[in-house]
Amino acid sequence: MDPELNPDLAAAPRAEALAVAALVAAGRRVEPVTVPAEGLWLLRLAEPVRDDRFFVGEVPAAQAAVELRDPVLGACRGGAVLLHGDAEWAGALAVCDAVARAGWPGAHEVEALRERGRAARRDLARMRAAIRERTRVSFAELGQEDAG
Amino acid sequence: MGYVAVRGGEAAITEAIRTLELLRTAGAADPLGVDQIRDQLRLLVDRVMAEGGLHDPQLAALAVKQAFGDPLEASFILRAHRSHLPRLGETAAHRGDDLRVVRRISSAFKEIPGGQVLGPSTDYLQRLFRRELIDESPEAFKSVVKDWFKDLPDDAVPATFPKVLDLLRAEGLLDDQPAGTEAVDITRSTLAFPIPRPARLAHMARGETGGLLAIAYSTMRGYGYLHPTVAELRVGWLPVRLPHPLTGEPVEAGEVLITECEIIATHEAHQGSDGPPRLSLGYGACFGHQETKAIAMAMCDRAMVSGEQRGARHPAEDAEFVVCHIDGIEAMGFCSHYKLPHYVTFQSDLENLRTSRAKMQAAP
Repeated sequence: MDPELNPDLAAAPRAEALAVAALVAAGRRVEPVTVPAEGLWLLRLAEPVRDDRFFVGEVPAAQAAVELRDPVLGACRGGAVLLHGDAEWAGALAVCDAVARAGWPGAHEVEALRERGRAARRDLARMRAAIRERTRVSFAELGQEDAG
Repeated sequence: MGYVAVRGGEAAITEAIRTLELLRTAGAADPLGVDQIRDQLRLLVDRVMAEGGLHDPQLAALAVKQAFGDPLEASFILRAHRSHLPRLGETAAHRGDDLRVVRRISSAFKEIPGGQVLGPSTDYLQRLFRRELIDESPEAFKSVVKDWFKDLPDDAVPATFPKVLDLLRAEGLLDDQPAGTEAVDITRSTLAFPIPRPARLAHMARGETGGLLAIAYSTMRGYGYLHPTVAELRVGWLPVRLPHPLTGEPVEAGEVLITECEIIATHEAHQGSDGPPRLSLGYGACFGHQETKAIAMAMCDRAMVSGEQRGARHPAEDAEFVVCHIDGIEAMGFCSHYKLPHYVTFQSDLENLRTSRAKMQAAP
């Protein structure tokens, strides 16, 4: 399983994800494998002092798993989970995930959607990298700067 | 204390609410966009998320707008919202080591592995008015982003870093990590004392910033023994891994912004043995970019651990005192309830007072 597929797809714009899902699902039957859900996950942190676990708070999430049935190709399954309480969005990503995993017709459209998400993540990572690079500091105690 | 139900006033209450809306809209300004609040008042939004206990910047921004900028009311709205949402599960343990850091400083060491990164910081501002912001033009506003993205440097600094504590632990200067205690869901369990450290941390993570700061401040001044060193303060984005609904494998579902702080309090005798003295530590972490809160939380953590080990010597070391008084929403509710009709109880008080006075005057 490609661990980057879910975060890449989840980072693509919602409207585009819904449009691509509708496109690749056309002429196919979409059935939920599990009931699509939206709600909260308690976020557990492990702290480094005594390795205690604690809940820092909750995060909204939605998740969906679907089966796609194609009159010719048979069936394939996909799923998605994202940090937005939006089951419709998760359902659309699950359809895209199924097509991408199975390599069915429509996988190119899903790959294009994935590339949109990948680019968004790349831009974010690049901005954060620039923040780190531009604000990296090497402190010297007073007097030391002259000694060197 | 008893309360009394009252009737009437429906029209006045409706008008009171309408008046709030009037005051929100009566100026000459355009409506405030939720996106504007989310992006431009991000520290306020972060505070509301942390105190509301829910990492949702968009809803937190809406809460700020709806609460007319009152962070306590906004946190209340967010917490009320979360209380009716279904719980999908509890995540596996996430570690601060995985933060995609944008800020990382240490006051313990000049040089730390990976280097210090100032990131977005208000530490170097002079607290002088920037009057150009009064009438900021859209062009000037947009040019900041445009200029910043010119000539982006290559990514020479990694996104994740080892902890400064690991250095000290490798040198044997810290207590060995015991098998950690499991987390407690404070939203679904009754508060009882003594309270385990994971529950204390959870209460503090969504505690009110000012409340935590006041208690931490007491330990810095005359009511405590702490003058800590910040081993590491880091701000970054934590990738949240949730089970894939089809395979069950953990996958990244998104990121949340976290501030995390470890403080070194002092050195003290090795707990439970005759071994050499070790450094004692405190830990704080919360949603959003909230440095003061994370440091204050770490100080309160340390103080309560000390209180647990040798008995509370002052309020900040008393877990019951701290945990019962840092929740802003509870505190606000208790304080505000005094506005509710207490007509009967107050009449009873008055009656008692009059009776006592009459008895005194009648006495020879």
